[in-house]
Amino acid sequence: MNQELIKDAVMDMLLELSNIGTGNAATSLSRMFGNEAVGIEVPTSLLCPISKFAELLPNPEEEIVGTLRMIEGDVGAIAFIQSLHDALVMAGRLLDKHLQGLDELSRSAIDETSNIMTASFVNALADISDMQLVPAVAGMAIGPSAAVLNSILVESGTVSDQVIVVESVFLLEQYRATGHIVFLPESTFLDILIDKFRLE
Amino acid sequence: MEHLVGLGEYAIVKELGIIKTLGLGSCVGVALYDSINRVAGLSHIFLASANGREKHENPGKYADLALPLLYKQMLQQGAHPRTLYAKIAGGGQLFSGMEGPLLNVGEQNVLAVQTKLKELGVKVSGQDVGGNKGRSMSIDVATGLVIVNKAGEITTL
Amino acid sequence: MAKNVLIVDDTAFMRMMLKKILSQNGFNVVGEAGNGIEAIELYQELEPDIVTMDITMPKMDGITAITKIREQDPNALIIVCSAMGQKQMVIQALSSGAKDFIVKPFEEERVIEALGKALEG
Repeated sequence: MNQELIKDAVMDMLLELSNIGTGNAATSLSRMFGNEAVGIEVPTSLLCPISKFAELLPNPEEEIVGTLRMIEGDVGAIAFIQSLHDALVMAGRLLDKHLQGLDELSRSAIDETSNIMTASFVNALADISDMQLVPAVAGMAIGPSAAVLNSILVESGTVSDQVIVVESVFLLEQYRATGHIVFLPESTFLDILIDKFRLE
Repeated sequence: MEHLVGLGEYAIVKELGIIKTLGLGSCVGVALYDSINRVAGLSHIFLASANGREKHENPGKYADLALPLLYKQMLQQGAHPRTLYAKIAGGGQLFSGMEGPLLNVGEQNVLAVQTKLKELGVKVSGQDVGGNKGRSMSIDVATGLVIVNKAGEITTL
Repeated sequence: MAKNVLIVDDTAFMRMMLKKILSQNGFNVVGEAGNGIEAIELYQELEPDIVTMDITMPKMDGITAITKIREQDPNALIIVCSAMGQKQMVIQALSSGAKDFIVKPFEEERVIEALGKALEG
């Protein structure tokens, strides 16, 4: 069998999976936001070559927040990124107050949103791969988009030439916020999926 | 004329123009310049070493492969080893709160770049490295002036 | 009499939310810990009736903390609150001695019900 084709098939499966994962995230987020209805539009998933990753967001110098979690066991890493603006809007809705910049509480609200979003993806992945996938403690970075994105690549230690990006649009009351989940798989994990896939 | 260099890329420009790179988080931007012969090069280094993955990888990403390549091509374009020097920026640690072996990868990248430049006999005449802010860097080919933008704070090297 | 709760979570926001829910439902939040090591220290110091425990935390994770707390006090009542709701994680948590596993983000009623059930024993 053609190795390249199999790898594509695994990537396709992961893209499919990201739809399921984000669907779960929608339910979770609604609960977290309590009174406010939060919807998530059907997400768009894509494979992004790492050479283009820094250009993911339209303005490479815009301030963004990135959180990065390594997944234990050489599985890879998972990140969640948002413009600082949208992250603060969502944190403000969660904390029910006007925020002026970042303090410990608003940072942790942003962290928790990223936790829910990435956990939904990872849990869906764990189901499909029948493995236990444990994300480690998150690191957070705030800075110009291109720098944060490139740092995600470097600090995750990824050697993969492609990453999976799931763009999610959050429908808040009177505002649409955007966020991206990024899954950076290790080749060893892809090999495991290839094996399982073949068995099916 | 502005030439944009992305992660793992490099560019060499003679006489006139600006070479720029964005997104220097833990990455290191390396500018090489020969003021007499007016040749400038800029490289965006991703990691210290390819660690045996050379065959499948873009050499421009790694300090140990990219810098010798950049150096050689600068000389081919008319730069002279005696009048060539380097300025570097980046190698920050943007992510706080992480635990594990990849802590300080920015610092490791800076060290790898400095070591390789020393091996090549190129003196580093200016640097803006470390910290936890992202940077962009440009070099003006006409003058060799390097401008570093660190989250709004401008430094010249 | 109001029961004393120790909240353990590395996110300030989550501790705040839990404190609000628990206080509004008749519980007395006596302490907050941000990692497993603080959890063990505060447990010994405050001797709460029940503990809510996150799993993913710096310095020491929740599962390890649960094991260590129960080594010192086999009657410790601990409820896990985590986003990592995978089957194997739940089994691991319960095997280490947690009384229940609540998946984040949770519904208020679920939290109160879980704590109530555990305290009744």
